[in-house]
Amino acid sequence: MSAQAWKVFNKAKKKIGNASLSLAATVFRISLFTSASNFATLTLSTYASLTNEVSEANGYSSSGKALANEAWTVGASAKQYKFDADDPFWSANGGSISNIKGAVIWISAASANGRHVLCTASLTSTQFALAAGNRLTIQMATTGILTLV
Amino acid sequence: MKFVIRLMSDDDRLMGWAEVHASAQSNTEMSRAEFRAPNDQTRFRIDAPGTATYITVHWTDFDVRRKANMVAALVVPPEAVGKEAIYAWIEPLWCVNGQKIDVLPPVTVGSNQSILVPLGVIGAVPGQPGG
Repeated sequence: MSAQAWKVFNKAKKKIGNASLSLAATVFRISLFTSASNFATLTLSTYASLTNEVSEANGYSSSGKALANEAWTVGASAKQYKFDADDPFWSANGGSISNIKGAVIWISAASANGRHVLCTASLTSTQFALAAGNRLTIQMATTGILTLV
Repeated sequence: MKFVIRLMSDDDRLMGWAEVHASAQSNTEMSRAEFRAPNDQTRFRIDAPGTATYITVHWTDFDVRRKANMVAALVVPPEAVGKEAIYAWIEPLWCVNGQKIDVLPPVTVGSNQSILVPLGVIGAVPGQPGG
């Protein structure tokens, strides 16, 4: 299982530019998706446009999980700044968390139109199910989730 | 993977050879992995004159071989010995065929998983990171 780097959704770049998506926010969430999902389609705009999220069961909530401690700190060099957060994890309880393939980070909002998707990553080449009693941790790189260079 | 390519004459003599290192590229539509020569070319040093009509591909890691007939015979005069010839491949060095299976059920992992997701980038020209 090797994950691919986070990719920023096309429209997220525009939204960052016009400040409709604030990377200073601390209400980001991360959700998991199956191989049948469109999570890798970079033209998506909002969370509502994503399909085939991992089914809510056994320790996975369909709205994903809140990221914690989002922060901007200096990156690999003094010229770079990185957006980072704590590593989220899910524990499979009472059964498997099934069909895990990719992840999307999005911003939480009261309105569906405000739930902008930020970035996406394929977590594995082979879709998998996490058996009960085990934990899946999405490990953010020490260099961050995203870097501004 | 290492392949030894031999340029062979119509009377089965070795006219030149080259060592090629190739890695497989997935061809999902064709359900196969293809080993291609870098830039789809192989450079030979001509060791003997003759009429080259075929090439052999020897996958040395597994000691398996195959023969590829050249589209057109190549006549190499004696004065070309020691010079370089370039062979342009119209096919992969080797193909490993699979089967098209539409349904691949997920595997179940029975241990804790920690998946490192590499850093993403905002604001870099591809291949030219700033900073």
